[in-house]
Amino acid sequence: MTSIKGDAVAGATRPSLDTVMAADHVAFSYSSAAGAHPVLGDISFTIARGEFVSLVGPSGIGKTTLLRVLSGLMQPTAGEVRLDGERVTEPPRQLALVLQDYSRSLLPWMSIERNVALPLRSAKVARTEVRSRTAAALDAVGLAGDSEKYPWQLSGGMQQRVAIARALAYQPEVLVMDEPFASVDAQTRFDLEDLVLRLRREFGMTVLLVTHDIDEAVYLSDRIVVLAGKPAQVADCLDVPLGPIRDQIATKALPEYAALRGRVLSEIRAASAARTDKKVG
Amino acid sequence: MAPLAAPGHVLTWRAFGRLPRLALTVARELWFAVVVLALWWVLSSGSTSFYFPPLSEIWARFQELWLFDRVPTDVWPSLRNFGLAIVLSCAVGIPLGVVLGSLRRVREIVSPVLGFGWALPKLALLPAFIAVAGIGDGMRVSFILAGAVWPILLGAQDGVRAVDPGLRDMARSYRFGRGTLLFRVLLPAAAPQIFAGIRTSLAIGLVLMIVGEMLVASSGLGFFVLQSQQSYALVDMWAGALLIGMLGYLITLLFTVLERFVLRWHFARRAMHAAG
Amino acid sequence: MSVTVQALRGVRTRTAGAGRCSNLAPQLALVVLLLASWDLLVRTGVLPASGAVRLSGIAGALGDVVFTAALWTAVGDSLTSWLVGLAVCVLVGVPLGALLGWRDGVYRSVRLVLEFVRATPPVVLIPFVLLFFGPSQEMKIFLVVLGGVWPILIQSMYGVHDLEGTLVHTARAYRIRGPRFFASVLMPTVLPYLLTGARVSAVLGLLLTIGSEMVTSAPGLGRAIFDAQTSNDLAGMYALVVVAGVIGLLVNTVFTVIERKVLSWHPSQRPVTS
Repeated sequence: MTSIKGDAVAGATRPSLDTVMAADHVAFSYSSAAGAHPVLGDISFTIARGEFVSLVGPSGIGKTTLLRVLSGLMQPTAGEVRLDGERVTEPPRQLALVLQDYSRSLLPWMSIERNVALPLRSAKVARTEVRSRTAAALDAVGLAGDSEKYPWQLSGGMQQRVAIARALAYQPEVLVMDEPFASVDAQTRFDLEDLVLRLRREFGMTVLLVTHDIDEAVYLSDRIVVLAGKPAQVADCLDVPLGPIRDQIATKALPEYAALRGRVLSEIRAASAARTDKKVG
Repeated sequence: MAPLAAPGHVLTWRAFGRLPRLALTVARELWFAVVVLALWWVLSSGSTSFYFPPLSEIWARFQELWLFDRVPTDVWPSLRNFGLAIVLSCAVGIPLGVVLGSLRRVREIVSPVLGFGWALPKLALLPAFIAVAGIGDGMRVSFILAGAVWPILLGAQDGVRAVDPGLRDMARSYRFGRGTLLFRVLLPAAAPQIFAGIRTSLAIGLVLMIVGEMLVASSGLGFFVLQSQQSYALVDMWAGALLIGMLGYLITLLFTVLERFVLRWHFARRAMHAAG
Repeated sequence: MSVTVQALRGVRTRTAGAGRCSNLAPQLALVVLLLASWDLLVRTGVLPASGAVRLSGIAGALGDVVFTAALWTAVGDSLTSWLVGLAVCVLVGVPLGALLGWRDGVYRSVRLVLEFVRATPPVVLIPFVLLFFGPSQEMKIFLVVLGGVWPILIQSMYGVHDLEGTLVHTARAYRIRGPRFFASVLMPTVLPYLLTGARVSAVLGLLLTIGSEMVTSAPGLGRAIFDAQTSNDLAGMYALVVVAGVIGLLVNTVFTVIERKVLSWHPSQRPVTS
């Protein structure tokens, strides 16, 4: 595990004029009565404008904690997160969040339209603009006809579409998603993955996806950041040269796809094996 | 449990079927009440018992008294005090509950005092209220308030505490202002528990109102009922008790209608989950 | 991610537990502050001297009254009628509620009458019950039952209704009958409901006991409070109010502890993380 050390990972940080988001030696530990409990140790990577980056790692590694730090919901105990060159201390305006548990992020007392419009209203966007942006976002996710319904009247996949529409209408520079498809069935999941790819092409958004699903990461991303270790660190960073247009059947049948998938999987396995060895030794 | 019917049959079956079915539902809800009233009426009709005068006499007296002779003197002051106290309880209890529900540390510090206030049998405070605030309407309102505020406060506190952390994250990440967070997220989320608190407050408030009037007032419903008994006017007493029962039922009913309207999303969602 | 979430929860509850100790000082400070401001309000005359008593006076009276037999007789009278009334509430409310819960038709039929009687504040019958029984223990018990039976009845109804759902079918499928059915299916399902009902009934019953004692001069703590006020022994009255508060707090605590102990497995008892 000695090779893993922040900047040492090739390709994780790419100094570029077009860097949107940067994690710079981010570390995080919980403090409790028993003492400090480190979760993230010295994590550095950058995301370029328009890039689709996935953070993958085994369950329990601290991906959600990292996401909360990156999105400004929590402060890192060391290092800093920058968005457009500015240090993130609060959830920034340029960022929209889509969480795994859609049923807990949509407001059941509001219609879908009002759910999507709420962040805009809170930001005091002009009424006519709220209406047009909401309608466009709902149209983009294929829910134009359901705007008067309530979230609990929809299936899980449809509810996640609402959450995505809300993020779209907000017009963020960076869309951050935490395991967004983990709670829906397989077919819905494929549909939602393709939806996100299409929206990203249409709106030119930068996307950061946190997932434990390696297939999903390879299928969707331009670049994958692999997390491993305890406390979690960047174990590897690899490009996914599969082109901008992808297809659930054709892309997944490509030899490059299988090679990348195998590489990420073996890295995660090696990392968790190393962890187990360490514990035993 | 949606009724199954072949599409072709729906129209004709509904047209003939709806009316009898509605009548059946109404009959099922009402028959027992009708039987109880009828039994009371028949069994008491020839009664010479001092305690149980004929229902017909009570009903006649009820009409004389309450439609609407003594409404301005005995019914209106009671209801006004009660209503005012409930409104004030909401005005004090909901904001305080929201604050305590949001601030864990403050809540923990205040909780022993709240616990004592909640557990104290409120009627025991009545003599103290008389001693400090006299026997006017101000005392009566503040006495009802002192008892009715607790369930609302605790309901709001628990409701806000139980707001899903996911919702709070969402609100923060979209940079909701304080107003949006309070009125669009926290209060609607806590509303079911606030309403449950108000329901309890209504029941407690009614009890406090009546006992307060029995002990210190020279007007009002509680005073009327106790005075009737003391002057051995049992028919009057029953008529008064009947009115209080009706008012209690009516208040609960109106409140239920309001709750169903304001929380229609809550009931619709619950019905849907129950249906699977 | 579930491991992280678990870890988070663990930290939260631990800090909450640690917080309880460190809160003792501010909690005490708040109580002292409230008592001191009461004293100040009395001393400066904001609260009329004809009605309010200074802290030292109340404390003195409390010290005196605790050692009198009269207090403990009064408390005993109140608690006896309350407890007997509560027992009758359980004996009457549980089977009746079970009957209503078992058959939906029965419940629908009596719903209107039930709701009417329940919405009627029981204290309106104090004058009538007083005529019937006189200012006695029986009168108080009758009132406690009249007012306190409904929460238990309603909860028993909900409990049995819940039982009807899936568990009974499961039990039937596995041929669980007799005492085993009672112990492993019936009680665990219905008990949470009954305990909730009993707690509400207990609080309501205490309120009615004290209220009826005040209105009718039946022996008990309520009467003692009212007598103290009418004989202008204000310090004594406040001391008795404190005693009533302590009793209320004890009743509440006892029921909360029972619920927590008996239902430690039940979802309603899990700590709410906030």
